Amino acid sequence: MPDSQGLSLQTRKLSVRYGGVVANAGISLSVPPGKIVGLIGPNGAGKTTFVDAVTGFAEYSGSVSLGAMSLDGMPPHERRRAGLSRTWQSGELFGNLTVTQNVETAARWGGPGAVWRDLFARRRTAPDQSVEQALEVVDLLRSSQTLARDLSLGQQKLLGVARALVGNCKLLLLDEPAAGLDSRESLEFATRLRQIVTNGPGALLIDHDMSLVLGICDLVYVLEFGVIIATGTAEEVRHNPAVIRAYLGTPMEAVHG
Amino acid sequence: MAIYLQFIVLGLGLGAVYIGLSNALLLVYRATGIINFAQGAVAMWGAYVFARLRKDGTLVFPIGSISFTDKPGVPVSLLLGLVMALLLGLAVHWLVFRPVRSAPALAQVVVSVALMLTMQALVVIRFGPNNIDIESLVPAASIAVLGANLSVGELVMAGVMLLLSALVWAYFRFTRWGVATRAAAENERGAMLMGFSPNALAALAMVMASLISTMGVIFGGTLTGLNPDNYTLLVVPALAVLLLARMQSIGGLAVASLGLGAFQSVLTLLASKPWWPVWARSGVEQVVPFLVIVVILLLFSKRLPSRGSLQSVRLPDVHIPRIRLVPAAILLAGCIALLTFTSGPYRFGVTYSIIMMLLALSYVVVTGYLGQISLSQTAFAGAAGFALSKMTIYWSLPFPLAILLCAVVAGLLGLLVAMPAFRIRGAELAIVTIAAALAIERFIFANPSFTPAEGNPIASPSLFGFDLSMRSGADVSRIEFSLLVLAIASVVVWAFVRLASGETGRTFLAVRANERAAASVGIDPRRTKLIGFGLSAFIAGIAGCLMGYSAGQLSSASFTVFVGLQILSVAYLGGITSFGGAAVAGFIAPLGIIYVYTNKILQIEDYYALASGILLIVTAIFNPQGIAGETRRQIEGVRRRLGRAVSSNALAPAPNTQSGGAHAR
Repeated sequence: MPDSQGLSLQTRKLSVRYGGVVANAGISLSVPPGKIVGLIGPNGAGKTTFVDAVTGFAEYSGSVSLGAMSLDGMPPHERRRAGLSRTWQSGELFGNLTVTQNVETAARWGGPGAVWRDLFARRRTAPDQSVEQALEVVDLLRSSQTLARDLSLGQQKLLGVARALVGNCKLLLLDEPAAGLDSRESLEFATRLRQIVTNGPGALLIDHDMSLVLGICDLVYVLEFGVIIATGTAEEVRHNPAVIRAYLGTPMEAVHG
Repeated sequence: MAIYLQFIVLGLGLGAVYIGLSNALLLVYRATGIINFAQGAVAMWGAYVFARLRKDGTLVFPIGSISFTDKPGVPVSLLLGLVMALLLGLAVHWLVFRPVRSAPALAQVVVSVALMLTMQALVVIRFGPNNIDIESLVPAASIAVLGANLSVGELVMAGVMLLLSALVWAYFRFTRWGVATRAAAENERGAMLMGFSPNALAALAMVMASLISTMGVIFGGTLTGLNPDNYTLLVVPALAVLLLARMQSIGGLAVASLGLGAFQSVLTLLASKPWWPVWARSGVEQVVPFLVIVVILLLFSKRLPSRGSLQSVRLPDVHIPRIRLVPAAILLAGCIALLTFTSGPYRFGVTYSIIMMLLALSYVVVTGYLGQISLSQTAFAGAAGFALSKMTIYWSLPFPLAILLCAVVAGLLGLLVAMPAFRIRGAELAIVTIAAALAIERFIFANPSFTPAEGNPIASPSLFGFDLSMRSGADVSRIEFSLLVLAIASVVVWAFVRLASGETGRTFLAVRANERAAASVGIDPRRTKLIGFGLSAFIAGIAGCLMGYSAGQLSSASFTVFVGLQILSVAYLGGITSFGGAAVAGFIAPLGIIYVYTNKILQIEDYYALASGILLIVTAIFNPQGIAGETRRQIEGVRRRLGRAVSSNALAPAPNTQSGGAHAR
């Protein structure tokens, strides 16, 4: 579990092009430590593209920094090691590994040193504290020996969060973590997320579940066609005319309700 | 200048073969998404049928044959040859490729490799292993152009193959089936919605592929004669051509085929010049396709069209092994007993089985755990054995140090081969690694400048004055050497289990499951692949050194591409994801104990290759877990039933479902 202080994420004029299509056009936003920031927008607005760019999976122009460190030019695994964690919309778990092993992959990354340790170091018999803590936060300790692919969809989402939290996590990017959860699970998830963030890293939350985003976010950015069209608290965004237009004229109360 | 023109035209004959094979590869790839490594081997059959009909009027089937009293003429023989090719194409589609159309790339590569081994073995059994002549369909005349005597035969061949190639183009361009096949390559569901069965389209493509490639081989055979090994491996340059044409353009196939053929022909001319270095004469024609493949894949891999299909089947599961003292001790004691109570060729068989287990284990590391398809494991083994010969003979390096150093050499070669794996995976990686293995085999192992005809001698191993060599006088398999092999193998297996059950194994499995997700949790996929290829090649290198010690000398025959493919097939057959699988593979491997034993009784050397090929096809389709995985499943099933039966008495300890690798058999 992140016992360390979080770091703030800053993007400046971040743009992503796929061929001739501009998926993100000059997005500047910041996520301070200890806060939950929402990123919402209609389908195809470029939310996942933004996360892919920030975490190094898509090429971009502009700049991304975590605390005082610039992340530009770093491959994905180095960004994660620097403290920028993400979850995936589609889960992307290691289905063939157990719950514990899934989290362990994010705590120890292999390499020549690991080859040496595997061969010659005495095996630890006690489970890794940080791994257990991360599993406890998402309430998966009891299923720790289950194969990831045998978990329910909701549990898989939570495992993704645990995997992102373990080890050095300074900031959390959550790509639709509540999709597929029922409303009770979604509420529980919101409570857990609030606890996690209060103790350390900030979180950027991307979701279609308006009640979740507007309910727990300290600050919300609204994205449409790759451009930020509104920023503010949940209350401000909900009444912003541009946002209402973007959501096909649906008043946000209705979406919220 | 005239001589160059002459050689360019001669090269067009080879180019004609490439046109046939590469068009066939494209047809099959478009229709099924499978790279058919067996295309050359499949195409041989019809050509052999034609050759035998013309030679003595015998129509040979896979089983049985018909002898015509009147030798049929050329048109009838050609027709019969092509009909056989057509039937073979249909059979290959229905029995082999249809079941794995939506399987993962690994299963598809394994199936097509298995088909390649099967067809090659079948040709050897039915037509013999030697070069046979084939009657020419084209005139042997020559014409004078620009002062050069150009062979007409090659020009006609190239012309006919270009014509056939144009027909394939027209099929894709103008027929509804062809258009639907192109659509299916983009999106199978789309083609189904258009009312076409992807299955029927694939069958049609397979038949056309069989016909055009057979035609190419019939032409090519008139130039060089037919030979089971050569034509099977002609698929490698044809794959280079396919990549040059970006797996799409049929015009590109034609240009690249003729270009490569002409280039290779001119290269053989240049290699015969006095200024060409002698050591670089052998195998240079194999180095060229390899370089072409590497350059194309590295430069353009991202822009090569991939094929959208409906993936459904998973890679075989991995059970994390553990070191369990009792089963390990029993296994070790069993091996010692087996080695003690056998002698002569049988002890040799057991010893060789242990060595082959190590080679299979190297596949378990790189393919089973890391999920990368490498067809160059015997090249790693061979490189180590080759280094061993040089180090023990020229440098007089003592035994334990030499084997370690040579395995490191192999490991470094593994790092080199891992580089392409940064950018490409699946079948494309298989193409690179088989081309690399072939280039290394022909350019180094079979190069008279590096390997004398009588083989590379290797000094006998000894430790503190204690003789550990394999042979001494009449004793062809000394127990000292066998125990040495067992000791080394035990250490390697121990290390494997430690790594597989530790952080390293977990990291490999994460990369195997999902490279993007692995990177997102902080794992460096490139470094992980380097480590995996390095470790795997290191293990293969140890096996190669032991193979060298066991023979006392090294020849290129021990490390051919076919040996590598055969070990891959037994490794997959045994179970590609566990030590247990590697152990099974060792037992059934060529020259292993089962092989020796059955050979003594039945003399079935040729049928061994055929049987292992067919079994591999069946395994890849129906039981990807292999023999070891299936056995474990059965044992677990029995245990669960037993556990349930006695649990009411509260006597049974909880059955341990994660059985160790040593327990798997």
